[in-house]
Amino acid sequence: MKLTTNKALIGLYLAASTILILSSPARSDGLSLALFTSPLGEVLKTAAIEPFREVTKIDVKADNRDWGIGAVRAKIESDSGVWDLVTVEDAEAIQGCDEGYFAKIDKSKIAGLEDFDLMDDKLECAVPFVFYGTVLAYDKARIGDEPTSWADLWDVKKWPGRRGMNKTPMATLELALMADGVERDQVYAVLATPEGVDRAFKKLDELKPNIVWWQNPGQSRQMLAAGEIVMSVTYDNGIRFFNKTQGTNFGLVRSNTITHVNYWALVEGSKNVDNAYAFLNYAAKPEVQAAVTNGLAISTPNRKAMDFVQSDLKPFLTSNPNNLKESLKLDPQFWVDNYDALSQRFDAWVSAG
Amino acid sequence: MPNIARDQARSERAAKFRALMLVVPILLFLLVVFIGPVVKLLSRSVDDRDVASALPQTAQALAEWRWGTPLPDAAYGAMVGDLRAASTPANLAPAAGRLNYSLPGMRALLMTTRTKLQALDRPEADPKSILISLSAKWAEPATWANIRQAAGPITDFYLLTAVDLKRDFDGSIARVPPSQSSFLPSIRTTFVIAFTVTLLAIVFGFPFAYLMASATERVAGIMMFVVLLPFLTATMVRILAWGILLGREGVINYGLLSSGLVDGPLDLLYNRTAVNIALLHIFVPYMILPLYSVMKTVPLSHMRAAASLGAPPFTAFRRVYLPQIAPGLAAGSLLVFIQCLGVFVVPAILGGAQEQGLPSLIAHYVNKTLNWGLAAALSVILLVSVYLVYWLFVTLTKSASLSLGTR
Repeated sequence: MKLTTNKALIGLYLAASTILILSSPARSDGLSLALFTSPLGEVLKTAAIEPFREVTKIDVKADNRDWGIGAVRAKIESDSGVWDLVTVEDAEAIQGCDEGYFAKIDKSKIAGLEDFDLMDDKLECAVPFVFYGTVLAYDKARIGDEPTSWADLWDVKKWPGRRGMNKTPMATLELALMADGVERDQVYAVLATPEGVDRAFKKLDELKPNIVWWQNPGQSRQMLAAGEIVMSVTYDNGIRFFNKTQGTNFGLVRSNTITHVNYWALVEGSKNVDNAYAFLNYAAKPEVQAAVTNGLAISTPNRKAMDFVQSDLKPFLTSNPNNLKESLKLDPQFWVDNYDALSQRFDAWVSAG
Repeated sequence: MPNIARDQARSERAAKFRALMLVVPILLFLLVVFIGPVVKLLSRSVDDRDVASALPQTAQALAEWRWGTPLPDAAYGAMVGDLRAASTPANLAPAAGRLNYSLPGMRALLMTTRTKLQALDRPEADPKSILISLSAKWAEPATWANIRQAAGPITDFYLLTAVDLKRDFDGSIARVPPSQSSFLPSIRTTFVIAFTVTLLAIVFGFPFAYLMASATERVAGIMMFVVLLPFLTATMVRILAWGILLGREGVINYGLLSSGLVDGPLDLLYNRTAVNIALLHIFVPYMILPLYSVMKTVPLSHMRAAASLGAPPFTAFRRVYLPQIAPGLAAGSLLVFIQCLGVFVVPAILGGAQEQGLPSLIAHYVNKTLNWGLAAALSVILLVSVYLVYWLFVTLTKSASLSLGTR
């Protein structure tokens, strides 16, 4: 009796492991995309991916990718051919290109790329598709005087209460330096020195007891709406999107916005390169770019797409010249070089009591 | 006689063998899906072979070099050879990533130097001046010392980093400046939270278990149901519910405000208070159940006997009752304490950044930056601490002639 139970158990283990092995995903030879798990991914699906599938009849699969270039690298390394195109942040695009898991993109194969002059780092392995800004946001319904600068984020006398900040050193160190009086165009020169980094952390130290860290921009908006925090560092497009969908009345500070660009990157060794270029061409069309912008209030780098953008949206976009002239472009190369060291220090600093 | 002994030994061996065969499947299962992966992951905390395998000539050329002495010229040629031998950037990526951990900028330096070298014709002719012309960093001894330290095959870099130490280029171990540290505060946070919650669990769990043990069957049954009730709700739901209760506009603040106890809403969420409350809620049954099980076995007559012999209530409690329930107290504390060391979701949702502790740092390095060496080193620290705590409990309870859970 005992032995039969034993055999049954062994059988069960074997069956379980077989199921585990067999249930790994099947491969399709259409086109496989990896999108940010965010409203951006959802908007891309309706604005670009579904219409592209309709028009071309190419079997497009849209997968989710985890945050962090490490996760993307691990996925690609463990299962080559799992993805053809990946949405990436600027620093990820550079690092992936350096390390050879994103392929160089033949820009001449993408029509209209010369119109992408609103914002583009001209990276070898990536094509830009949206950009947005890190700003200071607040709920107009709950605040008296409206803040006007990063320095106001630190003014806990005038605006008592906790503040939301993104739990990453990227853009956080930059805005801390600007709050400490560093000019916009000097930020990276200062941050490149050990003293500059110390200065940024020292400035953050002052505010530390009042900071609530978020890891997902949605949290920052929820906390603002619930009155948990009095103001928050967050993304400009999300504020507009939230105001529109949730009926809130959030305001934001435009001065010294820090801008970020998101790119499409082509995975090295992709078996569906032609389909990938077909998709990049489709996604670069002004109408498609504008549909993404209209869907999420996120800026398009394509100048021609502005003709299709809702006119009431234009003043709010990061790409609006009035907004853009007061902005600091996040330096992706700085973060490729320094992310490991600075994020280690930042994480430890953040979690220290 | 000897025959009987031999027969007995044989039959015992056979019985042991049968027993062993019965547990073989679960042992194998544990070995394959648990012990094996854990050992493999933890071994990453000292594994350092990426650099030597990507830059074999350089690693060899630097093997004899010591900090403070002139760099052997062979190193430049070896580096040029290694970089040109890397046919794709991906061959170099793991090594570049590893070097970037200990010296920022190394990733870009290796990658761009490789690309530029591939474009050059015969850079082997004068490797030193060519390398230095490509980047001034190649003239800095720190660049080379970093490579030599990472040449493996094993390293103490990750383990030292995890306890805020670093190895200087001359080989001595130094403390990371406090401003730039550190993991130690996170480790402390983890233990402080675990200790606080254990203490709270005793404070709240002890009287409850005592009442339950001395109540009638019926009442004890109801109390037991109350203790087990939270297990019927998903942990996630309980955590999120605390988020709603503790908010600035949540039920608790509403009650406090309308009763006039406070002037403005209190910040109860995203801090230590919220984490302690939620952890207490989740783990207090693990304190109550072992306590109840031993309290149930202590006859009430013991306390009465102590009293009749003239012991004041506290003395009777301390000298008669407490020693008898100590195993339950120890088991409960151990269960709560060790589980608290590993909590991840509660601080992530209800805590501020200062409540995150080791588990979230480990998750961060595993999932996001893929610095598995550092994640493994932090895991080693956590595992060793758990073992130390266990050892401490066992030793302490033994010295009081008690052992865990059994008597």
